[in-house]
Amino acid sequence: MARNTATAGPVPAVAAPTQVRGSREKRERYLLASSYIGPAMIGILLFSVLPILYIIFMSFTNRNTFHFNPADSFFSDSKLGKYTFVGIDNYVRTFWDAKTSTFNTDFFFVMGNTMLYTVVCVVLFLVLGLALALLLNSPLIQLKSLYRTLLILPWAAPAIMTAPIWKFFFNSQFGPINQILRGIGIQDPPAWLGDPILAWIAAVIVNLWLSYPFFMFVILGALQSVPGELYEAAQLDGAGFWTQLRQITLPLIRPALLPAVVLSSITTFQQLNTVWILTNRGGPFASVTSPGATEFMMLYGYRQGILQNNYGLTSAFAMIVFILLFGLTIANLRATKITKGAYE
Amino acid sequence: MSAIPATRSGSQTFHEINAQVQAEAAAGRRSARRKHIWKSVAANAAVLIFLVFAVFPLYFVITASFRPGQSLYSTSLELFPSHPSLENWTYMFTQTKLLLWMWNSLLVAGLTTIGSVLLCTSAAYAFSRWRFPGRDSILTLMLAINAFPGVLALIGVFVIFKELHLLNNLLGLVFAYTAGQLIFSTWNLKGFFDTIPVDLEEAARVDGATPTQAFLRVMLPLARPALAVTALLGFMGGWGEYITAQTMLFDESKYTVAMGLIGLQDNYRQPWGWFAVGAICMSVPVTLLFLALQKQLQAGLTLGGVKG
Repeated sequence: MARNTATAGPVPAVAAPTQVRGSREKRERYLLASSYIGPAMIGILLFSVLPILYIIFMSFTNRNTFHFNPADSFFSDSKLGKYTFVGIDNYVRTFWDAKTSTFNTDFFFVMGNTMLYTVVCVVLFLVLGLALALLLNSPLIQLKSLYRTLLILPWAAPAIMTAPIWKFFFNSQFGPINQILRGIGIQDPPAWLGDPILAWIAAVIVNLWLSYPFFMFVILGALQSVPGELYEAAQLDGAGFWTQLRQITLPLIRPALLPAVVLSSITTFQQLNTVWILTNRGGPFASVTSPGATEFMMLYGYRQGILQNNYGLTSAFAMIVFILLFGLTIANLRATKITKGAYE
Repeated sequence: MSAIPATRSGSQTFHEINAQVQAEAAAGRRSARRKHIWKSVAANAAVLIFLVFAVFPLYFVITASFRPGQSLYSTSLELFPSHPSLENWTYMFTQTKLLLWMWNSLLVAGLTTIGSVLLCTSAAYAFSRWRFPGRDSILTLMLAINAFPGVLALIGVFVIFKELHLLNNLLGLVFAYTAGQLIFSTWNLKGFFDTIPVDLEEAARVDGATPTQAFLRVMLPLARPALAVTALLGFMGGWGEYITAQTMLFDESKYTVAMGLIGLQDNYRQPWGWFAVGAICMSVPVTLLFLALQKQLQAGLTLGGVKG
């Protein structure tokens, strides 16, 4: 079927003769398609696209506590209380510190730290999700549905509630983790959230707890479509567990895994609430001015921008993150061709 | 297992040989079974160890809700509360607006569920089955919007809410949450529709059904798993969200449950017992939905159009 031709349903027997009947038929088809996608598009336009356009506009202004209201003339000189056009100033300031004429090392530290966190988290999601899905799919396990039901619970518990609970778990004095460590004879268990590296690891553990059920389910779903005969044939050929995993399972579930990886990479990169609550705004902090050990991209943007009313600067920061993530998404889609077929 | 017995003297009868072969085969099966049992024990143990990690925090919350006052602050692990009490439960249900907050959240989450199922299903069907100008660009544009850091766009959303007079209005939250669900769920549903062969609709069309009838009567029943996923994600999106609600609502009587519970703590106190009660009340509806829909969940997450 030709692209850019609206046809009501892929029904060649009905569509073919009607296509010749000219523009009225065509217009009806467009109308039908628009009535199906229209409501969703209006929703996206109003509550996603318009806010983004507003952010783009603000990223070129100096709107902050001192310049809060629009000036009479957008391109006039900046006056106290009014915000005006400042060009790409905010974008430059995100990368470059004009006072010291050096790169803004905080920004690059936070970005690198967030990327490392994202990669570590997503790799662990995959490994754990795959291990659990294979276990739940294997004949070695009894009580499968009970296990599956219990394993899904972390997904069902709202993250906004579980983050404070995990914070209590890592409490150095009263937290159950250190209670257990003391119970098994470790006299001086660590102050988890007070140590930069341990706090970082704690954030990974909590994120893993929150996210593995999603991966487990995506992989379980994908495993259903792998034909069992392939494994029987492999067994006859003497292939062991790892060979079967590498040669059969992974290549066949790959198409289902890649979108999950792209999506959860984005959500992990943009994580805010959970870490914000867990490590008390991204701490521990080495000093007042430098970013904390778990101050990932969104926490940094939120703390530096929104909490200090630096709206212009935050908007430029949001645009930079957006361009970065969108670029990575597209590169990923191209490289892995996961949308191949989706547009046909 | 070797079919030929390892030792055989010339004087054995056929029956003797046969018996020996069978005995050795049985021994082989036994050892294979023993190996299988050990593997099975190891696999079950692995799952059980992991279950502790998965479930212990939840168990802890349940016991915490029955611990009165400061007894949570103990330096040794207590698996059962030594003096269980309903103090926290009665406090939460009589002294706070927990029930009202839960009702607000239920309203918001329920309407978000209905909204996202209606909008996503029809849009996904159109994207899956019909070709129209702009289709590919819209699909890519939706992915692009998904990459925008939503929290930082809140200033923009706030301005739109103000213009539309939706501030401090639960309906405004419904709109924002529904819009938030549209992208993922439309892509996911489109992926599911793509896997359903078109023959069935063609048959319906040949029998005289309109495109809309074919969609409603033929496709929707087949897409039940993906619809269940859409509904579940819509409900969760509306039920547990915090930051948007915190930005858009001002009156305590309009608080959602997440807002109300977070509001219970301040810089000076961490009321863990109350918090635990709230967390349980908040988790119950979502957990029930999950348990009801978990079979569908496995089949309904197809993500982006390619079924594995």
